[in-house]
Amino acid sequence: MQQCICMVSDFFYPSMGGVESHIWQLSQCLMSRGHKVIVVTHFYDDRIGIRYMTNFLKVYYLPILPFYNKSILPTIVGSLPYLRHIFITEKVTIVHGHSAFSSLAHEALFIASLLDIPSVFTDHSLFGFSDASAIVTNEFLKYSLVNTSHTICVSHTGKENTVLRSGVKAEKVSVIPNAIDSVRFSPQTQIDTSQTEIELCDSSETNYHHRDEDTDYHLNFMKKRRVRSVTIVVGSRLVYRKGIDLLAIILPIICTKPCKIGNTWIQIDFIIAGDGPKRILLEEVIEKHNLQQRVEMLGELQHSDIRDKLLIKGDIFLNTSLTEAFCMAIVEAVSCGLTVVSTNVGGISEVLPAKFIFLVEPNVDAILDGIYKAVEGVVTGTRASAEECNQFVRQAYNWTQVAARTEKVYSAITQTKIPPLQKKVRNLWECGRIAGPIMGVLYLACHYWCIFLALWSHYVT
Amino acid sequence: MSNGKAWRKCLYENYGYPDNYTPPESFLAALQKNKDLKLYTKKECLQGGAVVGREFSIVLTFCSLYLYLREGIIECDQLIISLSIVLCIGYLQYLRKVYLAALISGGKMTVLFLAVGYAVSPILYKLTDTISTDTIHLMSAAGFLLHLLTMDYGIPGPIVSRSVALNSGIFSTVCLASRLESHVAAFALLYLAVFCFVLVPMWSEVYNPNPIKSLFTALVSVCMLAKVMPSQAVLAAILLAFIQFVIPLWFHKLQSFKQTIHGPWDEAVLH
Repeated sequence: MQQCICMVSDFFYPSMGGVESHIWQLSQCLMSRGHKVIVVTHFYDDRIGIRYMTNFLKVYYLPILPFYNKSILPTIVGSLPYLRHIFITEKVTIVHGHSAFSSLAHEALFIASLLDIPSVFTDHSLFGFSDASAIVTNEFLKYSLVNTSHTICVSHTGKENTVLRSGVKAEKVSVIPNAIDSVRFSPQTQIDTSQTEIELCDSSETNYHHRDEDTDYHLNFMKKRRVRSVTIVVGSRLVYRKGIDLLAIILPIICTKPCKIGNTWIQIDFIIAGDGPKRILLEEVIEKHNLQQRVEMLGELQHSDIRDKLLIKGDIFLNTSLTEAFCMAIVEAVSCGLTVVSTNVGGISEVLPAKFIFLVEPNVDAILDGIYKAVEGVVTGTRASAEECNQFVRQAYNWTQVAARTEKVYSAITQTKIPPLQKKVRNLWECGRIAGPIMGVLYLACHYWCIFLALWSHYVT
Repeated sequence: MSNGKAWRKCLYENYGYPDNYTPPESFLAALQKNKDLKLYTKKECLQGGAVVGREFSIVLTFCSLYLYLREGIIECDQLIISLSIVLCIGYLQYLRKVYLAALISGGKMTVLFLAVGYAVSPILYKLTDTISTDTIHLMSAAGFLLHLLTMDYGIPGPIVSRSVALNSGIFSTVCLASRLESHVAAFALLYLAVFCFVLVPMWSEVYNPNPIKSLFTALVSVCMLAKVMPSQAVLAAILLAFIQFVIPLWFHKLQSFKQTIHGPWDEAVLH
């Protein structure tokens, strides 16, 4: 049955990220299955009003000011007139909110339940329980999800985390993983190697000759002394929670310690892409141990350049995150044929089978152990081939499958009966001793506000 | 269970199972409650209360001695001499636990400080002369409050700062010193301040807090205060009883409500 789906989130194009690309890809796939999809977000710079994107995807850039961390001020009901108007004029049948950090999504879920529209919420991240900000956010999530028809999480660990945080029943939470474009993230081919040669040619002639001699000499040197080069690639934001402190300790150890497998000496190089507060730490480590020839820092890369400038130049992808709900980066790496070494945190153990990934504990010794095992695997050729990796990702994580599973969720919730007003207010009332009744009263007040708006628009037009 | 294969906790298989299905035995199986929980014994709680109570008693003693000086109950010479005697006894006690070399350097610093302090005291006691008495008392009370807040009670925290504690103690002293008559009295008060806010904390690092000893200190300070301000002394006694006994025992009782949840979603802790 054809639905009109409204995706609501603070995070959308032109901002780039996991949630944004998830919304985009899911919308495109749902549209190709015959549904009507619109996206609602807040304005970015001068992108304000209604814009049409590929395949006539209608995007509403609402004139609401972002307040903190690209999210709008959480007024709970401040965007009610806008969203109510959009839902009614577009004849929306399903409201789909994304990301727990997005206050616009939570407001949309609230307003959807006011207008008796079935709603779905997708949670992309894991949360702790112990610090003050987590406690407050979890309380808000409880109120937000109590009247939502269904919730989607991206991994089983994410499902457990969401159920514990918000108190929703386990049957009302589905696990639908993210997906990637495995056609674009494909292993290195002949076209890529010749592309690199063209790049070398394009630089000035003297440079080209110099580089040619240098590379040739270097390759011959390595061949004569049976030295094999293995490149480890790291691509993430350089922040604390991505485990960059661990990486800073590992870099000098691997680059300075000699490594021999069988008869060949292995030279392990690094390419690190990304930017953030911890970048300075890595640059200091490189300075201190003179690793400029062994470690290349690429800085921030556009998502479209990740495959060409980072992934196909490596043999191993290293992920040292301290917490992760579903790591898209490792799936992209496997799709390009790399072997993955990753810390076993959050939902990472559910993503890939053992033949594509080495899972290690988040401490230096275990990561070093994992890296050496991976290097041995790459050098001896015992790992799965690049085509096999790409085929696996193509079959397991593709957007058509995700869209089909999401569509199943949509049809299930449109068939369930919407609870009456008393039940919804009672749900809110029972969520907390003091805040529960307050939210219940607020909900009723908004209900009357909606009736007033309906009468007003009827008499004005 | 459509295709007969068992459910596995992964994202790339489990075809045939609906998306919202999780077998009950594996759902939240990795949840752990109250892992690595630190529970304090009654003795530890009371010791913690004792440290804070002792600091309060010291501040109260300081205030009562200032009032004695002002009312004329004790003379400034008497105060200086008695402080010097206690200082010598204290050094001899300290000698048993600390090396002689450190003691000699400490002794040299003390003598230097006393000489400089005595020389500077005429200026010191005129510093806040023009400010009204009520403001002075309020400022010094605020200074003492800050001192008590930032004092190092043995547990690290963001507001703990020994330099701020010492400085606010000395600030309160300078405020109060202006209400005294002669510069010798001001010097006596300064000597007392250094004794209370510098030497006693150093000494207490060596001697562990003891609930009985700090109870004794509390009684002494309340009695001293009672001589000049009886009603405030009652309030002080109630406050000290709260800090040293009621609150630690209450904390100990409330520990049974501690509940923490751990699981695979936790952020890894780097060692």
